[in-house]
Amino acid sequence: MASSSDFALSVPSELESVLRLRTVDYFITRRPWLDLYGVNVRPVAPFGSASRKPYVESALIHQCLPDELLFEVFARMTPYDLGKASCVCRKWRYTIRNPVFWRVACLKAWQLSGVVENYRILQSKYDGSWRKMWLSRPRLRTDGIYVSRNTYIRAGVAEWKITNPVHLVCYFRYMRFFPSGRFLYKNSSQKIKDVVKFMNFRSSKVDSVFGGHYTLSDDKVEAAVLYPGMRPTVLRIRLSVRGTTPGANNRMDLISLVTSGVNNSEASAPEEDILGVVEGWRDDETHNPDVPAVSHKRGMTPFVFVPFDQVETSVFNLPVEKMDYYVPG
Amino acid sequence: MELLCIRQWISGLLPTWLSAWCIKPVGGALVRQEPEYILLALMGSPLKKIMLCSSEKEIFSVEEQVMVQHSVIINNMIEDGSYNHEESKIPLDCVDSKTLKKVIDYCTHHTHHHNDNQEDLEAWDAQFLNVDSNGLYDLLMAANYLEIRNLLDLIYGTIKNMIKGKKIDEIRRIFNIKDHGFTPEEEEQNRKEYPHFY
Repeated sequence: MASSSDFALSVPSELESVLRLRTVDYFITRRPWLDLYGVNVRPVAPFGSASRKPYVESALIHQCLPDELLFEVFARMTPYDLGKASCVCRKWRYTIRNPVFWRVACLKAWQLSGVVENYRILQSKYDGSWRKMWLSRPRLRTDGIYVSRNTYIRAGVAEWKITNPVHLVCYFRYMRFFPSGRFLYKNSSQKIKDVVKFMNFRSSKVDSVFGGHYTLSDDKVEAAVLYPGMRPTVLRIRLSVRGTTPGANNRMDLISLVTSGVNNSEASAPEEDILGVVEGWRDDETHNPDVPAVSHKRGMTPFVFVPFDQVETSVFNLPVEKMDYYVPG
Repeated sequence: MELLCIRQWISGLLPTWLSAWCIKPVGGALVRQEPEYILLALMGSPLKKIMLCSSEKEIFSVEEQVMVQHSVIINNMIEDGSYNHEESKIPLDCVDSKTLKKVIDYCTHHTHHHNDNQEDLEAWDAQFLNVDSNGLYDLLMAANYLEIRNLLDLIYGTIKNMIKGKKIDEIRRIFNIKDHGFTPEEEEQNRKEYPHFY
């Protein structure tokens, strides 16, 4: 038994498990950790923590299911739900730390950058950690709608006993982004729960939902949408994305909102080109003298992100009487 | 006749589209297959039965077509000829009788009713999964072992829905996670950072 050589031909019993891996047929080196594969490893709480007592597993899912199958469950969840699941218990948190989940999520969310560029950014800015990229790199969320709630005061008609009536008018800007580089825009006083069903590409003009294109560089969004019609107008929107917590990306601040005229040839260009058409325009530029360039200064409340599953219960559905001011934060 | 001639003769008997591609569904995917097996399948072997033996040594007799269509493992076993119809049974030591019966039930229903419309199938699936947690995890492990793609996707989807859209405390209750394993400081930190999860 050549104990000093690694190339022993007869295999000691403790290395039996090693032979199950074909690549190891060549070098029978000692790899005792291979026996740990497939074994449920219970995460140990840090020393001194309240939960460092003999671990009695109450959850059936942890008693029955091997780790690979739990992994498969998580593989089918959205990053948002993964973040939630990692707060449920320590075992789930350790399982979800696996970079595979975050790599898939990152490559999908920043697909416009392309795979090669994403890998480059991963190494240069985020230490090779996909999870760090997911939490730190600004992105536009696609699992809901960004809402900007604006109010203004309008004088009403004096009648009967009411001498100086004043109305608080509330209107919303809705933006929904898609990973492909397109987005949908709607400006309406309708509540979000009534609007959400129209925020898709099947909507007709009657629903006054307009589609455009956007680009995201760093945290700056440049978006353009064309209002077709007799006097075609382009709406150029500049926003910056931020979040209330790391990775949340649930706020957008309006930097500028400019409406300008486009001439007929630009208006009839295929939809993809509108952002390309207005790229590089100055803020006061307009290509149709009938439609002056207007940089809007009102109705610039920051956008708040509402995920689809919170649309029905969102505070944005409250009427003006119940909620007159909303501070986005 | 040589095997080659037999194949040509059989190919001649099959409808053109089928013989051109020679594909059949296996475990939810479509797999290239030799013409003679297709013809046998079309002609008579749907009634051919195979024996499955559970961990409790109980024997279940199932139509071969049913299991071959759904379970990749069983399909491979039968294809490479290691299964002799007259005498052998397929031992499934990882699956107990109760679960095996359920799995066979699922495969049989989906084979015989695969032309039904989507809602009926989904309603049947929902009813099928109306079991306690123990049963659900046993089904999942059986489906994993037998590699039954559509049953796996179904169960994963169900478990995913138990997590999606629920608050953390609800999730802990559903899965009976009594000890979350976080220190009190960590738990408090989580609640502060992500209040909408709780």
